Amino acid sequence: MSTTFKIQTTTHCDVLIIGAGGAALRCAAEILEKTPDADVIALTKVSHPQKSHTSTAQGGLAAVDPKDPLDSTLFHMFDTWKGSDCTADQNVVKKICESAWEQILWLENRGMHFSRDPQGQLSKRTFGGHTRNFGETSVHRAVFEADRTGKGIMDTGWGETLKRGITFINQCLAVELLIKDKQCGGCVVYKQKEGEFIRILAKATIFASGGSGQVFQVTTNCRQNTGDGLALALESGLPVMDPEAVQFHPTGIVGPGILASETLRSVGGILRNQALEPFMINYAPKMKELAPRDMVARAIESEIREGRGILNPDHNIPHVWIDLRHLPDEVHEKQIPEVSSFFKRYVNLDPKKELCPVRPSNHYHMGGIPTNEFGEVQNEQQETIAGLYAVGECAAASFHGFNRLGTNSILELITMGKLVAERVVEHIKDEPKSRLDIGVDQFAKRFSRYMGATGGDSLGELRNKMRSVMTEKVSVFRTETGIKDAIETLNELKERADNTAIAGRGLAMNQELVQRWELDNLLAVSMVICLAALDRKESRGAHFRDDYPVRKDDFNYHTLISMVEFGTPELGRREVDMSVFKAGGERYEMFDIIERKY
Amino acid sequence: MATGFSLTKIPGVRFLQTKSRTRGWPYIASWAHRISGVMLILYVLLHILTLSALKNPDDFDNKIKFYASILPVFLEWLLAVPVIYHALNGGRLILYEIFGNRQDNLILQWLPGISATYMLLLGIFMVMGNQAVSAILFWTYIAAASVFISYLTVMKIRHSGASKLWKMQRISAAFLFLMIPAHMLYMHLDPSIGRDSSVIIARMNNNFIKLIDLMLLISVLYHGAYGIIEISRDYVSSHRVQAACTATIMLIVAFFVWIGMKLTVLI
Amino acid sequence: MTSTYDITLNVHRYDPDKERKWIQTYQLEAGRIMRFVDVLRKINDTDDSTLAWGSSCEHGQCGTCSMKINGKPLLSCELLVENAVKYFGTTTFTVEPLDVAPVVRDLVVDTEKAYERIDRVKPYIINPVLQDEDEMEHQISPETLERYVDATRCINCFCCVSACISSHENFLGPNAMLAAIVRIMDPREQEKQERLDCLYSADGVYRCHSSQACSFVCPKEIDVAHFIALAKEGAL
Ligand SMILES: Cc1cc2nc3c(=O)[nH]c(=O)nc-3n(C[C@H](O)[C@H](O)[C@H](O)COP(=O)(O)OP(=O)(O)OC[C@H]3O[C@@H](n4cnc5c(N)ncnc54)[C@H](O)[C@@H]3O)c2cc1C
Ligand code: HEM
Ligand code: HEM
Ligand code: SF4
Ligand code: F3S
Ligand code: FES
Repeated sequence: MSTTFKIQTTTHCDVLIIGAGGAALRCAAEILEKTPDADVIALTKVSHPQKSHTSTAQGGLAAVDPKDPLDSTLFHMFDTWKGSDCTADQNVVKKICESAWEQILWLENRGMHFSRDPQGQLSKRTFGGHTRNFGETSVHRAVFEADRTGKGIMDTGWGETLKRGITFINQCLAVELLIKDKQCGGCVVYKQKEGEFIRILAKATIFASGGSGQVFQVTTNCRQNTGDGLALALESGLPVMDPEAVQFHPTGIVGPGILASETLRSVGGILRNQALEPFMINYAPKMKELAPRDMVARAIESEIREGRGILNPDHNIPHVWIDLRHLPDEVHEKQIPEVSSFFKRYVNLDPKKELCPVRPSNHYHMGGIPTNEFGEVQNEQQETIAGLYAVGECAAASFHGFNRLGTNSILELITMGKLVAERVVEHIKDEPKSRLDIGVDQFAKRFSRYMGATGGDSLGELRNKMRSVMTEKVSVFRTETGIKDAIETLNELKERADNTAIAGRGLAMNQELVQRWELDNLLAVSMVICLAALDRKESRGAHFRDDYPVRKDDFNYHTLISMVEFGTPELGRREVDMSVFKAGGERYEMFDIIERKY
Repeated sequence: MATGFSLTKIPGVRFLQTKSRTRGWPYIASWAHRISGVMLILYVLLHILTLSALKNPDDFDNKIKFYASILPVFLEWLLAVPVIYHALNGGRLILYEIFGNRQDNLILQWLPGISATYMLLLGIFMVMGNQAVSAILFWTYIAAASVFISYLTVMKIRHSGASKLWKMQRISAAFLFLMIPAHMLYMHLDPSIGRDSSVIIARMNNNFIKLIDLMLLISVLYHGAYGIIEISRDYVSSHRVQAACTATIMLIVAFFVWIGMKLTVLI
Repeated sequence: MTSTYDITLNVHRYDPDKERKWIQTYQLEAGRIMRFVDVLRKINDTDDSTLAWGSSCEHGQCGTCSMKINGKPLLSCELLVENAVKYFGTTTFTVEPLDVAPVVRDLVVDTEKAYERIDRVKPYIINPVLQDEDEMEHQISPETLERYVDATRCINCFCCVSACISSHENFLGPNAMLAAIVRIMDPREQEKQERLDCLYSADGVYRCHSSQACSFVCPKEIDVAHFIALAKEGAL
């Protein structure tokens, strides 16, 4: 039986947003506030915008309150620059940090339920890397809504856009970008519920499709974060920037990958291997458990690599233990109650009495679709694609460089979301109508191929193989041989995937088909991560090469990588913007290439 | 279990246990409330029909003879289960919804105990069957207490934005909270109080008792009718069918109010 | 300690192409700390790739993975096999989609339909209190916030709606009631009347009988019934 794939309908709109997470909603709200009659369509893979990944962000978002005498925007900019290991673009850093507080007020005035201090003002707390006076002491810079800041942003963004008449298409996939002559006209969308393919033509198309955490075996990311946006861009011949910059959190709870926060170690938790030895002493004799995130992550990963990890049979994932048994009850109850409850809920362990399984967990993708400081997508030659924008985790402007500071990501969503919207509003004013002349062909070929395959592999098995090879060889640690092994495996998996049959024949809510498509995206993203990591023969931020363990000035650039055909990349470079340094303003010397040492 | 006997072998217990795990005890209590409410309204309609035979005392006595045999008396005693349960649980709900009490799991735990005490007391009276209490005195106390409870409820509920009809149902419930269990208890102090047409008619010739009966009649029927209408609104989604249900229920109840009033006033 | 369980799932399935409903039994070995989402994924990976089910965050934050297991509406990403065996006292589980909206396929329901009820109460600020100074945050004392902050924690998983004694058709539902209540209690919002009208409409408080199943099943442990009772009392 053969299913034919054709476009059921063509819809026109002013703005099409691929995604409905925090970035998408902030952007949409601004467009609708400025131009109330604009037709804005936002797409989600999930069953409702509120189910997007942003809803899980917990900690908070950094923003310097102008009323705070101790803090300043310049300090925030410095912390971000230093955190990025000198690879963030300073024009973007400046813009975001300067507009941060205004955006907090935007959220507050539209009903976000921020936690309050006794005076009724917004409460603030401190996070790793938030400092005053260029690293002198820590500072309270993050506003938050208890432990559900992301959810607060989502509720507010969804409410505002709903109020202003956005159209959501839920549970759908953007499967093909319509690009021609450096212009973007919209995309093809697979509506899962109806099992239909439609074409949406727009004056402006905005990528806000989030992260790619599913590339790795243990991740804090949601199930839908399969790097679709990056894969779509690659397929259309656009480059991806810095894909090798992937952040790992040292202690994710094995199984669901949920974060077991840093506090576990700061209150005295001890990491132990299979033989129950406290191993941190071998890696950081002085700091031990309190060493920086990346060092701890690497230590755990080394133990696992050298066979001193423990294999969890239920999830088939090797891990180490964190020992909290010796801590007094008071610490358990007062200082780490949430994390304790996570262990109870997800692994059924009582941290007071039992050892708890943790391992480094993928957390954030700094790399993404390259854009300029206005969120306009650029090609390999750094020319902008008319009518195409990117914002949020899928984009790389680049605010985070090679290492993101906690609380800077959701800040990026709301600040860049607004900035991009301003640009889009200008663009749709000038644009007479959506571009009609862009043909559609790729998706039908692709989906017919999926439905026509007859091989006997299991998609799940291929996906698991990919995730474990990426975790073993290209996560916290990277070496030339490891990456090459991974590339080989990916090539093999790609071939097997191409032959894998799909059992379900109907198109409505065919999750298998979705997973098949996602697997292609995951493989593509994995591949560019590998290729870029292979090419960067140094260590920078979250990218750590065992064989080249130090940062080198020769690599002070962003990687650009295009890959239309799987496995045949084209590599390029983009300069790091150092405009703040070059402008020579107050304390400009702090924005030179500096050492990242805490 | 070590003994090999487990309560869960009894099908009803199993069912309750499962429900308590999937929805919680208050949910079961709500279903029981609903069922007891429907049982009560059906009983009241039947009750009014039976009482209407009082117009012809001999006829009434003949009919009532049937109710004096052992099985019906037992069933009558069992009727106290929905009565006391609905009253106490209704009281709990009023405390929860109107008086802001959030400790109602405690009340829920006490409910079986108090009900059992009531049942026992009622049973004892029914078996002894020779208590003499002045109707006027008894009903003065009970009515005064009920009016007082209703007054408290009115004062508390005044500020709620909910509809008047809803408030009236809750107020009638507060009024009935003592009235109904007391009515039942009173009718069993001595078999003749509840069964002997001459005794009943003699009592009902008093204007105060007439007033009490009318208040009882109207509050019970209003409360019950509103309850049934709301149940139908929970499950019937078509507005037209809803309107039809409401109209039918109102007609039936109006009819019963009419016979009830005729009976009380004309006796 | 047992390290694995042999479990049986009786899954209520629906195929929209053939409009067919049936119950399919899967038997598999599951580790003690596998969650139900992991179990379903295992079924997909090894046994039946066509079984459709929904999840997103997979750590109890988004409310996508709700379903009924042995009759209890819950988040399947939070239920460990071991805990389920203990709680229900069996290794056989009935798995059904939530009954709050039409089923799309197998365990996936049409969430948009369910959300229509929330849209009706306008879950946003319509008319904010203006600030004296421009560009200032509103001041809300922690005590004021404390009164309603729990109501803001809802993730719209619809478990409460499924559990409620009232029908799912005529009632706004516990979570939509919460959404309305939030903006009534939020001092920044001036437009209260519209939400009050929703609360006291025929689809509002009158459909709630304080059965408290909402509070009982809420995975976020929100005392939903408490807020609805406040609305009845007029004490918001
Ligand atoms: C556990 C956790 C805690 C975190 N805590 C913090 C924190 O405290 N502070 C902080 O700053 N950051 C934090 N982060 C990071 C932050 O949450 C994310 O980076 C951010 O939410 C990404 O937002 P986004 O809008 O770019 O994407 P998302 O929220 O992921 O949204 C992507 C949207 O695109 C849609 N989509 C994707 N692909 C397609 C497609 N093909 N077709 C149609 N639609 C598509 C999705 O359905 C979704 O609606 C945390 C992350 C995690 C995992
Ligand atoms: C004895 C004192 C009584 C009290 C305290 C009482 C209390 C209540 C309360 C508080 C409710 C509201 C439940 C809800 O819908 O949330 C209710 C409902 C109801 N009552 Fe009563 N009631 C009493 C007597 C009666 C009597 C005598 C009848 C029968 C005529 C009756 C019939 C009903 C019915 C049918 C409902 C609707 C049940 C439902 O919606 O589930 N009640 N009662
Ligand atoms: C089984 C025990 C009961 C007996 C023997 C009984 C007997 C009577 C009698 C004799 C009367 C006549 C009025 C009077 O004497 O004051 C009466 C009236 C009434 N009873 Fe009962 N009753 C019983 C239970 C109930 C219950 C459980 C209810 C409510 C649910 C109820 C509701 C009424 C009402 C509303 C009237 C007034 C009727 C009218 O005035 O027309 N009775 N009852
Ligand atoms: S109130 Fe609780 S159960 Fe209901 S939707 Fe919200 S989170 Fe889910
Ligand atoms: S379950 Fe339903 S009946 Fe009321 S208290 Fe909760 S809404
Ligand atoms: S998948 Fe998000 S709550 Fe379960």
